[in-house]
Amino acid sequence: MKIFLFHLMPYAYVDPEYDKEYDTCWVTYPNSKFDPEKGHELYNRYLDELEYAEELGFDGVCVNEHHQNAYGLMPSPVVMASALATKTERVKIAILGNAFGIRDHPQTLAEEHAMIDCITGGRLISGMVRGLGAEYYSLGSNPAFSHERFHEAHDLVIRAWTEEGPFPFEGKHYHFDYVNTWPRPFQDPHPPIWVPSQGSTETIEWSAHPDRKYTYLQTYSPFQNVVRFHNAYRDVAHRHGYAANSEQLGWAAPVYVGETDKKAIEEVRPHVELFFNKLLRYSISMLLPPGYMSVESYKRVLKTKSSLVSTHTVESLMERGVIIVGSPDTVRKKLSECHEQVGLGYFLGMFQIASMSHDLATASMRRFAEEVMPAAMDLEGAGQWEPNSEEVPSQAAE
Amino acid sequence: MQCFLFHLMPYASLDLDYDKEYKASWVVYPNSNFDPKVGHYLYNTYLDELEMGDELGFDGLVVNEHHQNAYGLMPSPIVPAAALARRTSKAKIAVLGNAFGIREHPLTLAEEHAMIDCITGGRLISGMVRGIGAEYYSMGANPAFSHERFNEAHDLVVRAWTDEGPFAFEGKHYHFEYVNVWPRPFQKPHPPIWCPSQGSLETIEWASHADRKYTYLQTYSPFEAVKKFLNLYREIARDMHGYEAADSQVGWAAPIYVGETDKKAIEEAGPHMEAFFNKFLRMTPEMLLPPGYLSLRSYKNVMKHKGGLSKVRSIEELMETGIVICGGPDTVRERLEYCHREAGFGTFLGMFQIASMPHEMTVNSMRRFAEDVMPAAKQFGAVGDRIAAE
Repeated sequence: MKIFLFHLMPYAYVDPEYDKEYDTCWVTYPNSKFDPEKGHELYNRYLDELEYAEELGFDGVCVNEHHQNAYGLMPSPVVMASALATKTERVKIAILGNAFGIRDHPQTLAEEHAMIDCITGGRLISGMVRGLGAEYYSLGSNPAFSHERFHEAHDLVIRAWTEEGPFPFEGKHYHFDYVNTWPRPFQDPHPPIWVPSQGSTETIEWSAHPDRKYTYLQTYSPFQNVVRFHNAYRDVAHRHGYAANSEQLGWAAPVYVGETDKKAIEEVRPHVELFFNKLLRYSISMLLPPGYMSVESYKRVLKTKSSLVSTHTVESLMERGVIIVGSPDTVRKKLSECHEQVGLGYFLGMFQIASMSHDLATASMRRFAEEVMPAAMDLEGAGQWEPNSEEVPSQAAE
Repeated sequence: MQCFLFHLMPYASLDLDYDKEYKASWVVYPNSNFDPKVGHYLYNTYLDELEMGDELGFDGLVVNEHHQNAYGLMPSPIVPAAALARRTSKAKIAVLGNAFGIREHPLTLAEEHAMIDCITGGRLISGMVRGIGAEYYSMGANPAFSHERFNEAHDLVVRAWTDEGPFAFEGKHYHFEYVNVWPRPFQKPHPPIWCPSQGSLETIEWASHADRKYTYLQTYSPFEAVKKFLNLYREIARDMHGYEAADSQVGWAAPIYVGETDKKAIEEAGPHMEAFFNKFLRMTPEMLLPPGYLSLRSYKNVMKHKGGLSKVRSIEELMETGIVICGGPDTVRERLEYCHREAGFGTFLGMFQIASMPHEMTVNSMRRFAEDVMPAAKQFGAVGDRIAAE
């Protein structure tokens, strides 16, 4: 199993009481709450943490895209990936992901990914996402075309990376007379494409398709959903007549390694509870704007996602396996158990969580690197999945 | 006077005979001619050169945006600016510029500039350009709305950087219900805005406006044109907007080479300068100036000064018209002093790596400049008052 370090770059100074006045710290939470001096400190600290991951031996580092919020200060992961490109030498740099289809010029991202891939000599992983519902408010995009545009932007970008330009592209949403991307990516035919999702059926079917075989990442979910959606991916692959490789499956989860189980739980508690109860807080209309999902999916999600607005504790999150917290032994065992069930190719640990300090985050990273990672990197196998003739299970249940 | 180091990041391995088959190294020149392994080497070499600019004491490092071409491998200046953010410590990082108005989502650039400004603790200079005509082909944008969209994108971005969000923006071209940019820029009220241009009257009038007083940069022009347009900025500031422009509001960007002697300089830089102007910059008129891109009066004005763009020029002619500066350290220092006295620019932006020029030659020229020219050049004082009085 390969181990990546995931960073969200949260605004660690967010007022934990902000929700007395505001519904959410996304889109409508005024940017006057952002202090640029603190932003300067945080960005550099977070980049230090990502660079430190290379020193510690992680296989890759991950950045991502979220607009107008205190949850993650990366409206553009391209900036962070570029900053890391010349400050690291070995690690993969994974943009997980960019919302190509939310933009009217997805080829600007194709250009930027190609540049970073060239600079790093092929260390880029290109994540493609639709973007959360909230981003559609931030970018003034119509969520009803979200799937269509995601697919069309993907097709445009892949062609821009692989076909000789100039060629015209006439899609339903995108029209360009001259597609001729300079530079082309370093990796041949193009950087690996990963697809982070919370378990959308359409996304799993699309990623697992034999034409693509893109790596699917289950993000921030109870472990039973990780099992379920990874098995669903393997089922889709099986129906297409091939066996999915573990390299096609990954899981992203917050992780904290303390000296002992007790210390770990107490140290991480305020940060992880702030993360799940405050930073991830949004209204249902913001999370799922009209048209973002099919009516059927929407109904299912409303039924099952109600817990999104309930209050979580470290204990409840650990119990459901949304997070992994404990001493090095506990975390190592937990990861090994998880791997045994689903046969993960990639584990993406989010170490810095919400308001967590640099010292706490790096101490946890170090314990993980020294006492968990060596064993975790040796884990292999395809898990306990067995061919299942049933239909792909429906949307995330929580 | 401040000295900045400008880099275009050209595809130095461009086949100089490409024009036997293709009419431009822009837009229609197939990207199969780009070798990613060469690209890997070039990007890292060029980033090294920019970082060296910081070490050598240049006041700023400059990157810019051009799509689909061998002339400059920076469709996104955000990438190299971000790469430089944590590899440099003193120099300003100038994105000169980004074409905000050519995009449907200028806010994504506002976000990226704010991020880089925060990372660097306020070392960013935000250049705003319309983008040259060729970019309108690459991005599928209508050049007829170029000015309108540039102005509107500017208003949106400046408001996004300075007004508390969320607010709604309803323009003619841009409509956003929630403008609430996180992060905000580090500098207050926002990074300095610079406008590189080749002499568009509309741009000069707009940049010099008393509400803005943005720094105007004349790029790659015969020195007579540099003088003319920088003076025009001063005149417009005084006559139209009612104030005296400071020298810091005007700058000049030019290719420069410092050799050991004049003779060596010309021999060494000659082939690269000629390749730059005759091959890398080669463009059809409709690509450079697509219909609607310029007003008629500007079109006439530009054709008068830029008419020679498509003809073949020698290093001697380029030096004679003063588009480039080339010579031994003494010659370059004297020439720069003369030009400064004549045109009073507060910033000189030297492009040291030129077209196919190899790394070692570039670095030697940068070193000679930093040691033998820059110390004197940084002492050039304000001369705009005298120029304005003449």
